[in-house]
Amino acid sequence: MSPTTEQAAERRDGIGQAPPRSPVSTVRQALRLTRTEFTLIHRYRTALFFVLFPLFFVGIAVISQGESPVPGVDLAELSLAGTPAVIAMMIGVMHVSNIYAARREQLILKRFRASGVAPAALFGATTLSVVAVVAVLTAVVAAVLAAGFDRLPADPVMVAATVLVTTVTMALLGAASTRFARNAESAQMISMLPFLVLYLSSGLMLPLEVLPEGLATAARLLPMAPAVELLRAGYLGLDVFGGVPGADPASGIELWTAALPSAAVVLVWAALAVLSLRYFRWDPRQPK
Amino acid sequence: MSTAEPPAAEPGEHAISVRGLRQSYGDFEAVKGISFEVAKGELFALLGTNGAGKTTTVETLEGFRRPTAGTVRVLGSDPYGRPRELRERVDAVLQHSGLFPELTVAESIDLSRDLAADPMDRGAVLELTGLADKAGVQVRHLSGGQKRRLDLGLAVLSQPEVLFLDEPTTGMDPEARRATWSAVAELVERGMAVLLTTHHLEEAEFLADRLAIMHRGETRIEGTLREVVVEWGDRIAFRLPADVRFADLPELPGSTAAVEMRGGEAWVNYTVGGDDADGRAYRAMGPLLDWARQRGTALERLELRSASLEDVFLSVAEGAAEVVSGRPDAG
Repeated sequence: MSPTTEQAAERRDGIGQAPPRSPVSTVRQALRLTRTEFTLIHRYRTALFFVLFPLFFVGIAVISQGESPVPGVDLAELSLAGTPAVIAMMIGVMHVSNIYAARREQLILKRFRASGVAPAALFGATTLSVVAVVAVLTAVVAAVLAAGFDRLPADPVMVAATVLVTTVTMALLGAASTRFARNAESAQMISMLPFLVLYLSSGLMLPLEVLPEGLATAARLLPMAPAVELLRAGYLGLDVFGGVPGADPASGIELWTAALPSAAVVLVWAALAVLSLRYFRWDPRQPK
Repeated sequence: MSTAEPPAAEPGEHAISVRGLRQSYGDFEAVKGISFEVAKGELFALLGTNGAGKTTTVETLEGFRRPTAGTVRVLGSDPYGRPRELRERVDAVLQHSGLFPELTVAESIDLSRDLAADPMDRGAVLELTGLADKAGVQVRHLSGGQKRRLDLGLAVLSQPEVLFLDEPTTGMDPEARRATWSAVAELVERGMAVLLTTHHLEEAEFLADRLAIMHRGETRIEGTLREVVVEWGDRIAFRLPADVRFADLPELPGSTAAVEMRGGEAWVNYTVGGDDADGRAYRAMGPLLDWARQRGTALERLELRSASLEDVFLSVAEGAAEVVSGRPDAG
């Protein structure tokens, strides 16, 4: 039978009087959750599909060999050098939006929040896992460029920094985009729109030089085109920021100086991606 | 609705404190100024019909919603946004399972243990949940009841000071439900403050130190189980004899009579009130039996029973309940 209020009062010296415990740090939580992310990618077939699908773009780039507008650079090299940005975009926008919508629908995110897991740990874990996957796929691209075209990155720091910042940006934007998705299915459909816009504006499918000036300018203000420019510049050692045709070789300070406008756009998008998480919905019942 | 101001409490005395809480969604007011407290080592049950405002109230206390008006405190802190000082000290079993379907039971426990500062052993959690033989099974292959047991295990493994249980035994078989009740009772015994919302009245009867019944965003009744039920009165019922008119029925001490239809038959229903909960029904029965004996009337299918929580709940749900408080201090 029900105990009495008096009995309850007698129990108050139990757990409630325990000294406050220090929570597990956000970094430790994020690293532990990252481990789980890899287990889930391995076991969740849809995730595995999204993670491996970008290899398709590597294949397309490889078979597109031919003369490029830059003397001494094969068209496939030009495509492959920018492909890590597409890989980051595909995994970030499509995979992350899919899993976050599914987890929100299944109340997994809400349970973690109710259990005191920091939002930064949850977003951090997903981002870390996506960065790791993109890094592996970028290594595949690098291996293809090295083995097939004897090409190593001219400025590895510029390449690595661009891959890292673009991947983080895309992963966070993918998470934030789930605000507009009711479930995982609708998240897949909704993510197609930014995917198409970003891919078409990347300069990989259609060179920005062939676009009307207004569209080309708009594309350079979106995150993909500057990222592709930075990757091409860093990988091929070319100042492609004024356009690919006739791009001159460049390196060091000269290359980084030329890269500043594109880098600024990429960093602004990274900041916007972080800010967009303020509007993230943890609960499927939460009003939009 | 308990409009009376709750008793003054020293800051930090209550594990959970809700004062004048209101929650609105646009023009719709889901919670209309409710107040209650839960002490450490106490289980408070929030009962109510669907849409009564229970889950909105709990989600506000869990920190998922900012109150439209009023004040809520958990362990003395505003829970909105899950501030750092409440992490590790508060946990919850949500209305539906929130588990990774692809992880095994053991992996789910290990993950939650690694995220907590001072967790219980995996073995202890498996024992608590009764899932030791399912440790290697992926969550997707568990039954609904087994998932709920795992939910509970994950919520308590960090040994929180405050636990929110939102319909925790939904989908469980009776045996698992009983085992879960025992586990929860033990946690409360050790000093945990628990806020339980449930549709299972038996669950509240078994576990609750105090309870409140919500209806349309208001608390209609609040008190200990005994206070709530005693307030409602005992019941004496029998089939109305064919040769007896309602006006012929005797007046019984502290009682009101009514006739209701059950399966096409007229039944007399006495509600027996009064302060002496232990003896009032017995004292009312004497005059009734005397009356029947003198008239030579048989009281067919005579029933005598204490009011149950179900009686009270149904009356509230039907909107028949007056605003009552069983709290001794509210008068």
